[in-house]
Amino acid sequence: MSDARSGLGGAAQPAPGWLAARLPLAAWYRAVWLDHQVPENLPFACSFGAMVGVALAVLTLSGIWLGLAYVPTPGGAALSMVEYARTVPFGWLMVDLHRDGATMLFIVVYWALFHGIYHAAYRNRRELAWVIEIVRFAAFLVVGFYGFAMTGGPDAQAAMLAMAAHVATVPVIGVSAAQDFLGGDGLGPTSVAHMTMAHVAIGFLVLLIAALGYAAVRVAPPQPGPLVPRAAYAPQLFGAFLLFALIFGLIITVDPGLGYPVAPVLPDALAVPLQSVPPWYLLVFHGFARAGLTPGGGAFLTILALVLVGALPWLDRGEGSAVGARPVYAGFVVVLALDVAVLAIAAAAPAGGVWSAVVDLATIWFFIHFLVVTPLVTMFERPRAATTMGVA
Amino acid sequence: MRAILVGLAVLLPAVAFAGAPQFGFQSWFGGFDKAELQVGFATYQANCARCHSLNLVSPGDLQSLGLTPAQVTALLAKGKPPALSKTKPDAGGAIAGDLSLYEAGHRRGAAAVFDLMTGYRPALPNMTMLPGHYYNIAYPGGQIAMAPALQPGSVMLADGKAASVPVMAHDVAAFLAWTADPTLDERKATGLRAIFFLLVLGVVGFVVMATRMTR
Repeated sequence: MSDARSGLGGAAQPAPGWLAARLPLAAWYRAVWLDHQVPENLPFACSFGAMVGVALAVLTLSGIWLGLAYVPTPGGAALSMVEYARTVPFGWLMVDLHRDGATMLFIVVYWALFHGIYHAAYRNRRELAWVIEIVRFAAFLVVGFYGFAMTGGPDAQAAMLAMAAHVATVPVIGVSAAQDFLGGDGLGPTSVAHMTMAHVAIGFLVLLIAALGYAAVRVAPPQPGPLVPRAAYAPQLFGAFLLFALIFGLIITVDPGLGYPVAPVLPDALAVPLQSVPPWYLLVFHGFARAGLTPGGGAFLTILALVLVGALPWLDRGEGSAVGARPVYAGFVVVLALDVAVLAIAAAAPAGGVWSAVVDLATIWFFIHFLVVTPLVTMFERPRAATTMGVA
Repeated sequence: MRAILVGLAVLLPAVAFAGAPQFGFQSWFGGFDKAELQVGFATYQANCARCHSLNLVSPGDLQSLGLTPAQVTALLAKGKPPALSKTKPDAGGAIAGDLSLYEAGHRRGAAAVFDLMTGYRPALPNMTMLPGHYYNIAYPGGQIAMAPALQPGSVMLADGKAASVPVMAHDVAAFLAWTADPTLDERKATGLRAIFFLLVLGVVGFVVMATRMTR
């Protein structure tokens, strides 16, 4: 393995350099990442999951850059970003890196969630790590919503008002919390500044949550079977990075808006959207909100869904987790993924008619999966082999 | 069997896209056609600019349509076309909006503008038209306060012939796609270079790692 990390060997020579003697960054990097013992047979999906870090780095840096030009007022939010993209050299690139960076982040996060559920990644003293991962996912969703609200068009303004209605249904504190959320009874001059501050603050908090999650995974006991240092996965990580960067580059080149916005870009008192459609990564929860009928019902279903995914370590009553060890349960997990995809597509469709029924049915199946299918199937299905593989 | 499938594969898109306007910049890696944009700009100047502003387009931007600085200066010297009143009192106060980002907010983009420009028809005998409105099959509700905008003969092409209404509609739709996304060409060129770089980096990286792993 000395080959794979020879480029970093300088700081860990017997005679440490000036910096290594005072601040051993390179040694920490070796201890925390390169020399960490991981199973020998990790699938490519685990390396792809590590691209969350790349996406977060892109989002944080481009976000700081955009923050220098962003005008957090109702009239200035959309216009400032449009003018930045048009007039500043490579301003369009910063805007696209940020909005499509969010898309890349959620591609990786949704894939990692599916992979984690499919392989029961919460086994083996990783319950808390799993809960932290779901908290991180919830924080991503919150930051994503605030980012959408910050785009400032009629769509975003309608989404802010809808979210305030959800917040207002929380018992006791709801009404005043909704006023805090908007900075007044309705959209006011400070509403966008509220969204901005929350987006930035929670956006940096996410980095801390992600670090906590990695720390929790790291202390879990190693999997049975042969182990290798993480540095052995350099080719896989390189391949994962290439795949990530190619998808990223293709999206920015071909269609950075991914079909959005579907409403006018700039706010307009005469342009009120018939239906506010959030970015694709919020559509599942948009579907829950629609299936919940009232703002309170939608908020309840959204929170319940996140709690249930976080409670998987205790809902899963079975033993095995390896690929193919629990074919019936694995089949249900695939059905769940399809269900979530259908829910997202239906949630983007105009309200009413057959799509509303699809939203309701897909939501019902989501909750049946976690409340009924998961406990029963995992309780009764005999694993073929009680091994645990395929998770870091 | 295979012949039937190939035939279907050719025929179905041909039927689906027959009559639909073709815009090169809507393909994956296609860019703007400067000749189209110039005709579109002339169409806008002659037919749209009296009511509709383009506030986000600065005179300097017009150089990327292929206009020389001298031509831009000459345009500026002529001044803006005389602006009509922004609201039409006879049409319930309808407002002629700014067109800079008009196509950015439409899922169908340039095709929506082309359809609107070519969608005017004589009102059907059983229709009750609102005062000051015109029948347009592409407009939601069918009644639009904007009069048919594209006047035949208002734009002369380089070969000395007058541009037909479908040509003007097509090119002004392309022009408004440019005003909505003026950095499209730069974005696609940069993106293609980045993708090419990543592919080369991948080949080099895997060759290097393969040789080092087997050594």
